[in-house]
Amino acid sequence: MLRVDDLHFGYGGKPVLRGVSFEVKRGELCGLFGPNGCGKTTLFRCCLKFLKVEKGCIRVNGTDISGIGVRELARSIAYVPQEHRSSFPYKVREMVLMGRTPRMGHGFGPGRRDMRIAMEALKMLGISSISERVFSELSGGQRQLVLIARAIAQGTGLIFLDEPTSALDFSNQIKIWKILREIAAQGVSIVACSHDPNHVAWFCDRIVILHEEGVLTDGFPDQTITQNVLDRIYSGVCMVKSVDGIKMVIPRDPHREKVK
Amino acid sequence: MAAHHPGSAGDSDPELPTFSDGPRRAALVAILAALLLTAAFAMTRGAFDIDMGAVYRTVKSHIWAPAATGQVSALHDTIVWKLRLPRILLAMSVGMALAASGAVFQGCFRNPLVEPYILGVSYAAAFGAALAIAFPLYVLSVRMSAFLFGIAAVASACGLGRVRGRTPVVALVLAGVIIGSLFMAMVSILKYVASDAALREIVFWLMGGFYYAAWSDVYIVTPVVLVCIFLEWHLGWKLNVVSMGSEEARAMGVHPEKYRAILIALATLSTTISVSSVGVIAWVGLMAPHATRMIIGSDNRFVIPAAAMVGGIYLLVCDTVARTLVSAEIPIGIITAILGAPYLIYLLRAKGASLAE
Repeated sequence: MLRVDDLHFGYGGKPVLRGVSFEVKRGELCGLFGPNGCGKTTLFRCCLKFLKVEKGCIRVNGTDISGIGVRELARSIAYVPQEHRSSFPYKVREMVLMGRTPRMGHGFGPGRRDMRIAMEALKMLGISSISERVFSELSGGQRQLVLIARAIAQGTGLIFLDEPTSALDFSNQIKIWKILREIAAQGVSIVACSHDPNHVAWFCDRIVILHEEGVLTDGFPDQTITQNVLDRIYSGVCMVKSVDGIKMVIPRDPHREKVK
Repeated sequence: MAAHHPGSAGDSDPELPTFSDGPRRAALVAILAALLLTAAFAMTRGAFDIDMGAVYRTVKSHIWAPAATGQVSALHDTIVWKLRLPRILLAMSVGMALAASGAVFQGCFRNPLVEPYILGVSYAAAFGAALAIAFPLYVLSVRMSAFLFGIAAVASACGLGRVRGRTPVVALVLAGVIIGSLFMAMVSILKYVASDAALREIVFWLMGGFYYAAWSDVYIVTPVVLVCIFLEWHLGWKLNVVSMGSEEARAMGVHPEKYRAILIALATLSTTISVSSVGVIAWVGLMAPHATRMIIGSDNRFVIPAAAMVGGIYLLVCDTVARTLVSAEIPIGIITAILGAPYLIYLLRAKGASLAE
């Protein structure tokens, strides 16, 4: 579905991505994980062509994206930003309908079919009841759901999410990840970056771990979220435990900190 | 993705709420009716009151039955057809142009407090006009000079705002402010060196007005404005997506810089042609789109036509007040500011906190 080969990018001569390569298969939920400054967001921005890659190749369904236009790319990849700051009080249904834009003709805007698909996306995420509410007045969790609904309405085979749960409470975090699992089960590939090793270990099919020198490791959660790898990226602040067969990443010596 | 959406549900899945544009279409028709009624009322008002029937007969004699012109009194014919009608059409066109341009600029700059003069059109046009007024031997007419300088200002603001092949909104706005203040300084120089008579004319031009409105103005301004507004309306949905921000717009298949450039070009053309014929009229371009969003929501497919008509109504009301309130004419810029101030104060008090974020 998505194949990134030997990707290089730097800001003003300072290299950020040095030969990043990985692959995401159809229907896979892929977690992109790594410390601050490792280039997760930059990698996203290259894949969405917000930035021009210096060297390397990004293919979606076998097509090199460097040669295709904005509209065509938006038919293959949808994007869910970390946060949307809106300047105008758009309604939820208008926000979701905007996802249909790359599928619309050059007329005045959305047609009946676009409206139906937008509504189905809202229904799928269980937020039909808020379709007439103003987006900026919603809670953080609802806003994230609306942005995901917009990406679903776009009808692409691949969705990128930039830290989808970073601003949410625990229950909303789990809810969003479960919804991402459901979407992936329907054959859509998802790439989500996250700062939380537990989230990617619990919910992702595959994890790509980035660090300063590129891809550190790439594979199933069992093979990637290991003591060895976490020691390398977090220099020994945490340890991996198993609770009832579920992997948990916890701080080293949490009790000692508390006693102080 | 179609796989997720069972086709059997068709258009009639009873569980899916449907949305209808009906109420917003009805609002558009209501605003259009209000515009036409305001125009009809404005035709009857003036130093010389003419009843609706006489207005109707005069207009009809010109449009449907040119041969019957003789049946209408020459006085009515002059007042209605030669003086009031072109003035009313011009006020409507300029109000529509400024309001629709305001909506476009606000969407492009993702800021509801932007007005169409943000890129320096007003001061540049003022400079062009002042140049032609102060130096009568100058080759261009007042209107032409104002128009060319207005367009040149926006073009240079866009050129200045371009950084490494991209045009960030902040850079564009700053470039507009720089260009605007440069021309403002040059207008001051011209005021300083101009003769007393020319100075008076420059000051009058700066306040804006429809005193000299004639059919020749209507023929130039109205078609350009209507075509620009229609094209802006047609791009209304794209403007919605552009107002989500550059990255999101791109991810939704709308090239942000390309569509921003097209929309700003259309808004600039209609704004500049208006300013160059009637002078600088403030506030309409800021208030009309804002008031419209309160009535009709944020979707620019509805905001652009509705704001245009609201702007038309507003300038028509202001101009009618300007020419009827006292026996001498009041410059319309004064009326738009005085009538608009209470609304802006309300806006500041009600929305000030959220704007500061």
